[in-house]
Amino acid sequence: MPRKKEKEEHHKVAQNSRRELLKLAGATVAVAAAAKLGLAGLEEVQAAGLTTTSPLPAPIGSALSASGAADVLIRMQQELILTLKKPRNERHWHMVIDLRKCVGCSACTIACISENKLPPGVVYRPVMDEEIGTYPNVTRRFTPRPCMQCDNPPCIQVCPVNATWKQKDGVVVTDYKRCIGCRYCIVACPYSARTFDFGATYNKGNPEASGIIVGQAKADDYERAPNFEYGKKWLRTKKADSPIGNVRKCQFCLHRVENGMLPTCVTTCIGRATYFGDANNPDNLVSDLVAKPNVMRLKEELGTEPSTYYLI
Amino acid sequence: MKYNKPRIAIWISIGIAMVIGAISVYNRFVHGLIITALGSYMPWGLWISQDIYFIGLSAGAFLISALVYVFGVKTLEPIGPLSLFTALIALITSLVHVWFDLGHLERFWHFYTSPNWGSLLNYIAWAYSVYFLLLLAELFLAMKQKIWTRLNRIYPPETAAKDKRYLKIIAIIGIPLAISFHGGVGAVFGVLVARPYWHVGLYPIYFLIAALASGAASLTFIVAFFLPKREDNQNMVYFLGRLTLGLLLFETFFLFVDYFQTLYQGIPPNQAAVKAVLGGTYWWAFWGIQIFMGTLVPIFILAYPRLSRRPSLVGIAGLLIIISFFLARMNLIYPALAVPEMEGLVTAFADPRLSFSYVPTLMEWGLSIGIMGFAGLLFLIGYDRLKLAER
Repeated sequence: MPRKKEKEEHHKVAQNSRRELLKLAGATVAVAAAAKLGLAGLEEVQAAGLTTTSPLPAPIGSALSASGAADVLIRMQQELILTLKKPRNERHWHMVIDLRKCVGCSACTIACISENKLPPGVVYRPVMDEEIGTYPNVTRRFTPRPCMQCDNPPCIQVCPVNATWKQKDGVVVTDYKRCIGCRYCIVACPYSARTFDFGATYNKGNPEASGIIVGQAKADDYERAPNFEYGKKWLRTKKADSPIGNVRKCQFCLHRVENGMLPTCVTTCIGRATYFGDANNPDNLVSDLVAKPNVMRLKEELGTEPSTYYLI
Repeated sequence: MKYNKPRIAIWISIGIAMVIGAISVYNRFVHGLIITALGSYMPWGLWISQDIYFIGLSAGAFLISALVYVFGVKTLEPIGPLSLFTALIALITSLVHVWFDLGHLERFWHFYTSPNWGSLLNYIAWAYSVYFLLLLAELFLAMKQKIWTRLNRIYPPETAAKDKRYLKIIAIIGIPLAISFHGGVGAVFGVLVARPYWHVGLYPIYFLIAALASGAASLTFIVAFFLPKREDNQNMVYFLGRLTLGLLLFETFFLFVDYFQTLYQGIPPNQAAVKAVLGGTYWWAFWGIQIFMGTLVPIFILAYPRLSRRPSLVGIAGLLIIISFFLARMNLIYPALAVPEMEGLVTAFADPRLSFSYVPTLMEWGLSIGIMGFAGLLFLIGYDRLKLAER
């Protein structure tokens, strides 16, 4: 009815104008207050009741996510601390990678390189990026590929000098002091998980222009920094304690795990796609995930029994 | 020492080769394996293919010497010491190639101090060591009469008979040793489930047949061109030519069977390496050099009656086989590694050391040429000093 509608519109306009007036009034007060306190110190600001900070709303600040459950990293961290109380031969480290969550950012690749101070040519965890199908039915699949830490590893059988073996806790390790660099293990691995350290550098031979290239002096520090794989200090010099001339691979960040920290790829993953834990304990997150129906392992038909699982 | 023109040319070539080799050796020690074009996806390259080539040649030459010292084949008796010596030089060449290929060549003694008996590579390292000592012992016993004569020592017939018996025993021990270690080299590749191109049951036997063929071919070449041209030597060349022909046919049959079985069912990942050999970037190397120059032409020369009676042609056939075998061994190693184990790895991480293509660098060629030059030097010195051409 026209008259009612007119009345409503008039009412709305009036409401709006009242709102505007209040806003304007508030702004004026604030501006006046700010102008008065503009050049005042912190004490005056706090005395006036105005603060420069405010607490974050509770759900973001705590360890609870929006749904109220603990972040998986917190859970895995707690499980890791408990697992470390067990003797090594009762642990069996497993890694589960959820391919539905992986976005192919390769943050894990770079974090791993940074953690282990890897030189050019050595990569423990590349992320494979495959395009499947033809337009319009195209998809991309990202598959991070760390060492599978097989239970039946083809690589340790073939090492002529016993420089690599499987630890009781399931991790396949390499002795950098024993390896002769024959590279038979690289050839034997079905997953191309092992890489050889040729002694390449990032900064040697780069053009020198002191003062012009910002940070050049500092850039070398990365290569002079030791890495702490297997809990020992390795420097990239040509002496005995160098990983140059050896075969290297992912070791589930044992140097972190043994000190109560999750592997770097697990903590870095932006999609929380990588899980890590002891699969011998049925209460652990990885034990749940390994039992899921959509779990798979790479090249299952070869019988290598990887400890790295994928959720597809 | 003979100072004829071909000889001088050979000495000059050896000299140049060793100078080139010296430069590469220096770089290898100073810079390490970074001077190579190897990578983590193709970690074995020229030096390993040269290694398996020369060890095959050694095993083949040794097994032919066994024809003389165990089975008493009279026609080949004059070249018994020559074949042993060829086996020794080829073994040294092979071991030096492997030594330079190790990431830590100063740690090679770890084979002996921390051996993993389950590893075939360790087994063949030990077998090579025993074989080396065995070759030295056998060569000494075979040459003892000549050495004793030069030292003006008396060599009574009883000692000669006893030495002949020892020689036979050592040669008999050598046969299963050579078969096991060169079959073992084949098994080094054949046991790997990760590489379908190599995971073929007949690899140990294939390596043995190829070794015998290359050993026979190299002896044919040496006898045809290095020994004085007498009628009995010419008969020996003819015999060696027949032997080489038979072994070459056998080897070609094995190669055919291997490729045929792999290609038959049409499963792409398994076929990929074979297809790369037959029709990939280097198809011309396989068809032109390995098949035409290294198989068809020698078969024609060695089978056609008029040609097989001419020692120089038979010698050339041997040389063609030897040269093409270098390529055959490269065609064995590189294709298996050039096929990515997972397709996604090709683009997963970009780095020059993470590439699926491999072309040896000049330094790699230089080192191999230098080692071969050095082997040629040892061979010629031994050949002259030990008077291996004489009866």
